[in-house]
This record gives sequence, structure tokens and C-alpha cells, in this order.
Amino acid sequence: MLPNLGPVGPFPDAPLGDHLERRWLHYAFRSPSGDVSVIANLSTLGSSGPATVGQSMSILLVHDREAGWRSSQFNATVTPQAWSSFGASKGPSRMRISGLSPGPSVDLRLRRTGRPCTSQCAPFGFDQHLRWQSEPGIRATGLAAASGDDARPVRLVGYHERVRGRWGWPDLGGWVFGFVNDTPAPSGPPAYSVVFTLITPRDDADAATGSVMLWRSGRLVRHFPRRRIDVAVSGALPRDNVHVFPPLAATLGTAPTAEVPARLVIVAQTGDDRLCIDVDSRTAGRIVNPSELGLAPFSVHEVLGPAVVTGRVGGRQIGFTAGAVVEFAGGAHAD
Amino acid sequence: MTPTPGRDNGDDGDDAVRGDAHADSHMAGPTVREDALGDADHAVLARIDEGNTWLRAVLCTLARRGTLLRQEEPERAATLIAALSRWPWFKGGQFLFDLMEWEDFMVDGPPPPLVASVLGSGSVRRIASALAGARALLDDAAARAFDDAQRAYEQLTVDIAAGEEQLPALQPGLYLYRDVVLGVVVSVGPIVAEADRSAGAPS
Repeated sequence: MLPNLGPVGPFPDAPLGDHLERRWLHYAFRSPSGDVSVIANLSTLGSSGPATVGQSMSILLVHDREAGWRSSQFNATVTPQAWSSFGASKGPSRMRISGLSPGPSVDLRLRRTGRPCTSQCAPFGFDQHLRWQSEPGIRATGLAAASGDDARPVRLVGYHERVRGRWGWPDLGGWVFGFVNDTPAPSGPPAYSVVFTLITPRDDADAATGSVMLWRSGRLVRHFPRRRIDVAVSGALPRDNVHVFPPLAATLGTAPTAEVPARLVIVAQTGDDRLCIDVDSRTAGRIVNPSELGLAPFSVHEVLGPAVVTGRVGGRQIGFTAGAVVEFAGGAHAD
Repeated sequence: MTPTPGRDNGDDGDDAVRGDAHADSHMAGPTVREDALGDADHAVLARIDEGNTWLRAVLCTLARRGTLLRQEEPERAATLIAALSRWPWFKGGQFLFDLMEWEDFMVDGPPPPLVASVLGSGSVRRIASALAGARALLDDAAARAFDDAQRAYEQLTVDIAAGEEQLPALQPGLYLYRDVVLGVVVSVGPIVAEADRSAGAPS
């Protein structure tokens, strides 16, 4: 038997601590044409109660250009197990995620085409932190169904991340996150990928809570730190284009939350290197997450739209347009 | 949540998925098979595993000593961290700790046993000697001081880590690196102080 020289899975084999300690695996994919988009989040929350078993929640969103958004509840099933490029197995693996009938479902083979960034950590509040690690250029091929039995073959390219830490949503505040993969060759990594993150904690605004990263052919080639990034938004996505999920949220009197910006522009600049990401929001699925510290939920708006990426990094001119997935998240104020 | 090494899970699907599976398998390269290794490979891995297990126990022991300090003397711990966190080596250590995902390494699996002998007086003497030797490589004056320092450490009799330790459990999270550093400080501190007294005492 091979010795175990380190964690086998994406997370260490250790129990979570209290009710604010959490982990999740995130997946987001788009077809090159933008016809199909898939977003999934598989999370586990610790427990402070007598039972030390954590709470697991899994949600799957499928956006079909014709059918629109479809979402599972927070009880999507994952078989045979959650795939992650952060585990010991780097080969392709099959993962099926499905909501209860007639919800959305996917049956995908996932494969990494590059390397992740190093883990990044945002400390905030008192004794709280969020640690995340990103990997764009993940390929997913198989079947996707917005609902019921309308499954169709898909070839998707997207993003995977692992997130862990300990925080309360009011302290975390909110975030702006997103990625863009340039249209890839049939089997290799995208020519370029961009991932950006900006966490906006309620306090400690000076913390190192953001970055813009650029991959070329599957390798991280530039990391712009928080202080070299400008983020601007303008306009508002029409409310009719914002869909509230999971479906159960509509029956619980979920209050409206902040508007989703119609346009997001991020400029990162260090020395002669400059990158501009200009995203045009077209539609959003709002995932309403319960907050452990208050009644106001933490809303994550999964926004789809084209992004124009331009710039010059390491003497190379960069310019491409591709479908982006952007998250505008926040709203969990303490009561 | 924990993929098994070398196993291609769930390859039992329909044609649409299977067709991509062939392409993906081709892209993934050779299969990982334990029986592909020879005795020499296993011997190397076994040595690494042995060292790995010991290192994990050492790091966890230091972290638990640091946790104890943080719990029992929070102001002393905070003041030490405030002073040390400006030190470039401290920052480098934090960077390496994050880069190498050492927190995951430490908390993965059942807690290891305590290693009470970690950073005992003999260990500190050898570290001090190595550090003084490194300084002597750079500086002739430091080379002369090296002999004095070595004499002071050779006279040490204190051994703080030899006894039974009652330590709190490891506390994973943002402060694990700091707990390791605090553990080093509380382990080394009494020995360094004693060495300083020995060096200052008339012989």
C-alpha cells in the first residue's frame, strides 16, 4: 500500500470546528457558444451543537439559453463522489449532480488542463478568515439537462475552486468574483484565463482580500495584488433578469436585495503590465444562502455575460472576448 | 470528497459520456499502479513516510505548546506575535507554511502523539551551533564569538521538554502557523535564557 504523504482529498481529513467553520467545492462551466452554463456548489458547515456532524448542502444551477435558469434545492445529489483537481487523483473523473425530479442534472467527465494558483487567504473580523484556491481551464464533457429528460451532450470549459475557513456572513461582507476562459483548443488549456476576486469585509478594509490572476496555456503567469486593482460598476441589471434560487426561497418571503450591476470593469496594473476585464451582465441567478448569524440571507448572484479582456502582460498583447461567470455577493447584515 | 489515487471513478456511463472518457483517458497519461513500483521505490517512500510522520508530530507538538500559551497568557502571546510578525523570517515562514499547505498536512487524520523531546536543551544547543556556524561563514568576528556561545550551551543542564506535557488540542485555522511559532518561543526561551546566564556567570 502506498504511504499517505499528505491529504488525499481536496480538504484534510479532519472534522470542522464550530458552526462558522466551512468548506466548499465550487464548479462553474460555460459552453464556448454560451448556450449552456453549469454552476454547482458543494458545501459543508461545522456544528457547535452536541452533534459534531456538520451540515452539507449541494446546489446545481443550469442555464440554457432557451429554457433559462433551472436550479435544484440545496439537496442536490452527487455521485459517485465530488471530483476535485485538488485531490490526489489528477485524471478525468465522472461526476453526476442532480436535483430531485424534474430538476436540473449534469453527468460530466471533468479534467484539469493546467495548474491552480497558490492558496490565497483573506483574514478579517476577529479570528475569521477565508482561504481560497482557484483553477480555471477545467474541461467538462458529458450531458447537461436544465430539467427532466432534456439532457443534451455538452463540451464545457470552466473553473473549479476549493474554499475553506471560518467566518460569519455579516463579517465577511460581500465579494465580487469571476473568471473568463479564452476559447480553448479542442483538448488543451485555454490560451488565456483570467480569475478575479475582491472580498469586501465589513471591517479591516485594508486586508489583503483580492487579486486578479492571468493564466497562459494553463500556467499562472501574473498575479496582481489587491492594491493594484481598481473595480468599477455601473447601471443595473433589470429585475426580470434576476432569478431567485433555490426554488424554495420563493416560498419563504425572501426579501429583495441589492441590484446587480449591469457592467463590471476591473483594471489591474503593475509596472508595465496591465489587464482590463469588461463584463456585460446579461442574466443572473441569485442563490439565497442562509446566514448563521442573522435573518438576512447572504445572496450570491451568479451572473452570465460576455467579457472583453484586453491588456499587455510581459510584453505580450492580450485581447479576447468570451463568456464570463461573475459573482456579486453580499447582503447578510447582522440583525 | 476524497478521490482515490489511481482510480477512475464511475466509468460506467452511456455513450455520450464514454466517448469523452476515451479522449480524457488518453490525455490523462499512464495509470497509477502500486504494483508498478519496485522494492527500491517502496524503500524510498517508506523513509519519506517515516520522516513525514515524525515531522507532523513535531509540528503539532509545537503548535499545541503555542496554543497553551495563547490560551493561558493571551497578552504575552499577542505581544510576542506583534514583535515577531515584523521579522522577515517570520513572514517567509508564513509564506512557506501557506505555499506548502502545511496546515492541511498537520490536521489531516488522527492527531499524532506528543513528542516531548522536541526542542530540548540538546536540540537547542545543536541549532545554536549551526546558526553560529552560519554566521561564522559570513563574518570573522562572529567566528570568534562562536566558541564562547558553544561553551555556554555545553554547560546547560535545563531540560524543559523532558516531562509529561498536558497540552490542549490542536486548533486548526488562521493561527496555526502562529501557534507553531509561539511553541518554538516557549520551548527555546528558558534554554536561551539559561545559556545567557551561563555565559555571563564567572567561570
